[in-house]
Amino acid sequence: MLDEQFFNDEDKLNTDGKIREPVLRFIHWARAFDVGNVFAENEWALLFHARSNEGLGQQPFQSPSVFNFYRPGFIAPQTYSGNEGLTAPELQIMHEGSVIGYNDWMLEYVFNSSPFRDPSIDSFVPDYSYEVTLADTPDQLSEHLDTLLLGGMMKNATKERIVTILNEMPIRLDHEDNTADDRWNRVAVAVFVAVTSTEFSLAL
Amino acid sequence: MSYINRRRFLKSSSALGFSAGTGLLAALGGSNAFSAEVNSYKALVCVFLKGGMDSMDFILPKDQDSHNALASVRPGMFEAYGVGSGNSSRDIDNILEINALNTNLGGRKFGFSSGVPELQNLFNTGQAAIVGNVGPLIEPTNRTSMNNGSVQLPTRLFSHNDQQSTWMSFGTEGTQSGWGGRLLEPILQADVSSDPVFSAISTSGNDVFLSSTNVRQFLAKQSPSSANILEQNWRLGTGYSSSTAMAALRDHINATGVTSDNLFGKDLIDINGRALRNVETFKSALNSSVGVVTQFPDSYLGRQLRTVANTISARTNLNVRRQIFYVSIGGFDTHDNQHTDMPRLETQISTSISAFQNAMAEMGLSDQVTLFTASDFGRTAVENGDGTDHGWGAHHLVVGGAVKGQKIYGEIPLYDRSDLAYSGDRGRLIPSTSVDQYAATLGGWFGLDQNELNDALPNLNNFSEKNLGFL
Repeated sequence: MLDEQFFNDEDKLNTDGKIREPVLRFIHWARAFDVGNVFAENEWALLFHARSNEGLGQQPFQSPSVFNFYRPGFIAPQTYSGNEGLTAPELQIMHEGSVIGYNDWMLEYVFNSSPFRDPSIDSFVPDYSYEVTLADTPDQLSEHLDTLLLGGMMKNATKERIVTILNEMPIRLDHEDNTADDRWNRVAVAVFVAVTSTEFSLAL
Repeated sequence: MSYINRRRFLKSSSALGFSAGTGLLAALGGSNAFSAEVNSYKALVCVFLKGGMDSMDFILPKDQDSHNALASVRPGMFEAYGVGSGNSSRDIDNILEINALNTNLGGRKFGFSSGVPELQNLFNTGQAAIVGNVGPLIEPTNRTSMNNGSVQLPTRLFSHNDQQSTWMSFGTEGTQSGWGGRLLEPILQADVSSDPVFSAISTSGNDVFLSSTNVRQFLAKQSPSSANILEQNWRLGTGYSSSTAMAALRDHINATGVTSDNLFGKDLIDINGRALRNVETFKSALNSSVGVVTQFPDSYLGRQLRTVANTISARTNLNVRRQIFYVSIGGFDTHDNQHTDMPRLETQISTSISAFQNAMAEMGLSDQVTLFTASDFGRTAVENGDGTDHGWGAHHLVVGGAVKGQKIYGEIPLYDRSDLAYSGDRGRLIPSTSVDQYAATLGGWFGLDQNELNDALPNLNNFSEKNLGFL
């Protein structure tokens, strides 16, 4: 971790790194925002839809076989890594369906809108209290998320998109509740874009 | 469509370029790559039973001698099943007899357990056949040639992951091209107007079966949807009406303009770049199709086969004339508790496949869709007390209106482990029919000619019988 090269940029060696599996990305988000009331039994999606290719694509502790979720020897056909003969186990569970499934999954959690079994209990609540202080300055918010979630490896295209989108979301100043809502919403959109960026799926 | 034509043109012209060194005549001879028959709609559906299904506990003996013989190598399991009580699904009187038209069975009779009446019905009405003792082989093999080392054997036999891969791709784990994909290669060459994206469809992950040089599987969802954020502009709150914001989100989901020099980064950008287009096309095709009304069991296999049926219903909108589907269920590694696990699994297979056949009949496609089973391997004839262990050859089902049904193809050896059909004392069947032959029979029906089958199936030329006749 003290190696300067570790933090340099993602492109230091073409074959470096690995794909991060969906459950690690989900947990990364949950820890980064100190998710409160971690009450999995109340989470419909976590209990019943995480394994589905239409959801997270990976149910914690419930791999489909004794061989876990993917095979260590998996080389993904028709890929850049596969053409170089590189094993990419995590790509065994990543494809068009699960990429969109992960996006939809994170959308519900990032916006704290995942369905509850007991509607009176709000579980998996992210703490964006620091981030909302940056909501008025989208560029600062995107820089902060780059540091917090991506260790400085967020792509410029991603940062620019966060700024573009947030600038289209006016913050109402007529009432403090509206102001708070709009700031929180900006943060949620920015976090969603960050955790669904391709770079967030890459570990280097 | 024009981009597909251009792609095909470039590909075929580069193929000519490569073969120029071997002479123009050879290159012209190579034009058989365009001869696959692609006229009407046809589909193959692979049902992969992960874990190694014990087909000796699936295709059951109905004559007393064979039943006694199986009981003698499986006393613990027969006791656990309650055989002899009169109430067991495996009691000889309760086994549902299949009336095979074969004349080569001697006095032997076969059946399914009392838990699978649907499969008995499919077989007895000529819509299903059994292919006995199929498995991966390089060349014809028997116990003598195996023991004296005079034949080449598939590597890493009896290992789950490697034999799953070998069944699907003729190579151990890490192999990148499966025979489902390879059967589609000449089809896509011959049918340039079909959409290659929706020719290979999986409901169960990225296994190698449906991959090959130019084929990549699409994962079909039970309820087709697009990226939700693009259909939920209210997520943007005060920005909900901003087309600029929605366009930026769409570009983000597509990873438009994102680049990486890292190979894994490139792969991620590539997957994201095609995901949305394919998912949206699929959704719109299915939503504008009628689908099937046939009820499917709400089981893991039932839900997948319903997805396959609904996808077939959308074949015109998806612009495909040939499709191969891959579905799979696990749980067949029955080293223990086989007497509780197997009945649950066989019921799931029976009810789901039967519903699928009903759905094909509903669409008038019974003769155009053929379903077949595959598995890591069969299991030992000799029990371990509470279950069975990893074997090699296994009996499989082919189902559909085109199947020359009510017949047993291949061999179902006696349960006598001294028989040369077995590799040794545990009673592992040495396959008498190779996966190549099984695949060639399916592929020939699917539209490939003999040269194309030889290209797709590496060991086929080592076997004299290139078509098993069940289609």
